[in-house]
Amino acid sequence: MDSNKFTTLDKIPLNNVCYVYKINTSDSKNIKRMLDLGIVKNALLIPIHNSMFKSTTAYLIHGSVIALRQCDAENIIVTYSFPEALC
Amino acid sequence: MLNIHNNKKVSSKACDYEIALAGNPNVGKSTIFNALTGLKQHTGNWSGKTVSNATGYFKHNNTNIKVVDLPGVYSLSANSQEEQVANDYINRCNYDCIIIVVDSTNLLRNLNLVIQILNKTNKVILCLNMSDEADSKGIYIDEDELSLQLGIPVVKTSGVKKAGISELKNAVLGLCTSKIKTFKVSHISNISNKDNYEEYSLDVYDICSDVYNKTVKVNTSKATNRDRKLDKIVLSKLTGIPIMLVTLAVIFWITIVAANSISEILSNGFNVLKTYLIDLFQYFNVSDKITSLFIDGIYTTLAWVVAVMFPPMAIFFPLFSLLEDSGFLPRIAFNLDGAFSKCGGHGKQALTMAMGFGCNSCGVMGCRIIESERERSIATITNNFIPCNGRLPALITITSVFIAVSSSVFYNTVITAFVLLLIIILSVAITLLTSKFLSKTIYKGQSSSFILELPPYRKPQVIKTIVYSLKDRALFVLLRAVAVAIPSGAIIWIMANITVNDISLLSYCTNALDPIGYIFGLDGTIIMAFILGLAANETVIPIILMSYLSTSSLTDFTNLTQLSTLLVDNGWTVVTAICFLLLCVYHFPCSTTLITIYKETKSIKSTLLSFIIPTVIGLLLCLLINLSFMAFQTFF
Repeated sequence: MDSNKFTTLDKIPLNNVCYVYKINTSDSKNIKRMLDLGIVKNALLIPIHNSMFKSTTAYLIHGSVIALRQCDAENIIVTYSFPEALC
Repeated sequence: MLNIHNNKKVSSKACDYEIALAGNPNVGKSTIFNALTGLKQHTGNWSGKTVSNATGYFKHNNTNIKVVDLPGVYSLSANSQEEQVANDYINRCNYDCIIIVVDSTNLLRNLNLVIQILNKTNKVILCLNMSDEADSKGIYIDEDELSLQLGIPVVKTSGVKKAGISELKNAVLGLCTSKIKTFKVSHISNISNKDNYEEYSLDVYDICSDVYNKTVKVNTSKATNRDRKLDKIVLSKLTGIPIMLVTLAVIFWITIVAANSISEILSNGFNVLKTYLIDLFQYFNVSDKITSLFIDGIYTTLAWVVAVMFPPMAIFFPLFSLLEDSGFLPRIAFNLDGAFSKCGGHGKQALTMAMGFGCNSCGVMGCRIIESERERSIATITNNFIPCNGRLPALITITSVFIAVSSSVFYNTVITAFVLLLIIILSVAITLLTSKFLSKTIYKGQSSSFILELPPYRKPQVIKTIVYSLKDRALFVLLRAVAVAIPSGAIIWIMANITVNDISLLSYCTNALDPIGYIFGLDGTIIMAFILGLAANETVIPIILMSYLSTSSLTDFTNLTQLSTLLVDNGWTVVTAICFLLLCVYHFPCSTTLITIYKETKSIKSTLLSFIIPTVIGLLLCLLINLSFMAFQTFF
């Protein structure tokens, strides 16, 4: 059994699907940039690669690949279906 | 390696209509611009190549049309300098129509900008670029339905293959002359531009999804899977950086091997021409002094620049352009972002550094892609640590003469490529350390966000890229070097031949600089060459040779033995060579780059720092090497 939970994007394991819920930052420029790239509510995101220092991750969104730093991914609240055992 | 002359008008004729090309970054706007106008605006597979408006013209059915190629934007909310340039233009509304170029393989994300522009104006044509690529990826777009959904003409194109360009021109003319009508789609034009940009974006994306679902069918994603497989290797923690280094080393090695052969041919040609020129001067009874000025001064310098400096440029530029076209550069930025982040820099700095390989002036202009002013300043000041094409041939030559001295030609080329790679690794390390220093002292502040699109891998257009790189990049750099080499050659010859108390002016200058030079493991001639090389780095080696040649002679530019003898006779050792290599990489930028830094930053402080920091680092490294060697000699 799975259960949907809110978490931040940086916590999603590679190749797992999550959905954007909210961008949680006061940096309006940053919010605009993310929205422009399609990180809007209910958009599907899949982390696909971590960089060497794990500080940057590549995400699949709307058919394109976008790299985000961990500090930016921390600001994106997503819904993710955690496996029951891990909850 | 941006086209820094992209605001140049190709024609002063009056135009009947003015149109603009807008679109997301990296959707092929510049390729469509080139296909429409016949110009050669720089193209490449990564975001942020076009940083200012470029203008061109084309004539269709006896109508002159001006085309403005705008920098790529994701939306009409300006986040960076180049986006501001595009937004200002779109908001001014003094155009007859806008062609929105979209990537057919990624329509959903691209529709965001389309809807936002349609929310403001419907003088729009939608250009579905890369339609051939979409076909091969199994993406089918119903262009008629899309046209109906958006209320504007839709044209399928492939900028690379120049397919659909005449249809696009017809649509432009039709819309400009009002023969083609567009209509407002109520739910698009009625989106209220709410104060809350998040709600506005959500409304826009709802429409995008709706339009996309009605018009696009995706059958397979073979190519996407291929990209993911490649990314698993190129972005891997284990293989990412090694692949990057090996690629660079291979490019250097090919450059060295191919350049050697071309240099030899050119050098032989120049030697033959030299004998004819001497005969010609003798035929016209030109005095020995004037003959010497032209032959030993101007001609020798010019011949050196063309025979020795040009071939590496001509090989390196196309190879690097192929790398750009493939989509590899943004992956380098991804791999290096962690290191840059830890040093207070920005991952996109890796892209601007890569641009610096071609020309540091272009690398500095490219720093516009970095949104944060603090990180942009750091990237600008450190860009000169990457040796540009003007310095690369000097590095190759001196390495070949003093370091790669095995009896095997193959090993020599491998050693030279390896030394160049070590220099680049050192340059990246120094860039990171300097970025760290600047971010902790002069440019304190928080790290900004890093959001970068990793484009799909694309097969480079080999022949087109080679022709373009040779014609528009290598020749541009060569002509600039030639323009500086001619007066430099003349000045050095005059200084070497005007004597006071039997000592030439050149000797006075170099003798005065000798004590400073010796401290840093160099000599006065080398120091003077770097000072005079402020005009163009390409002239440093020719100036050094000209100075030494006032007492010796060099007949074959590519004969490394002759060159080695000349340099050794003038006191060069391996230590001199190492110090030269270090100073060649780490010294003040050329005048063009300094002017660009001032233009871009509007800051005397940044310009001065760009001058002082690399020079101080270079001199300190030379001092360290020289003192270490002296200590070694003393104790062992």
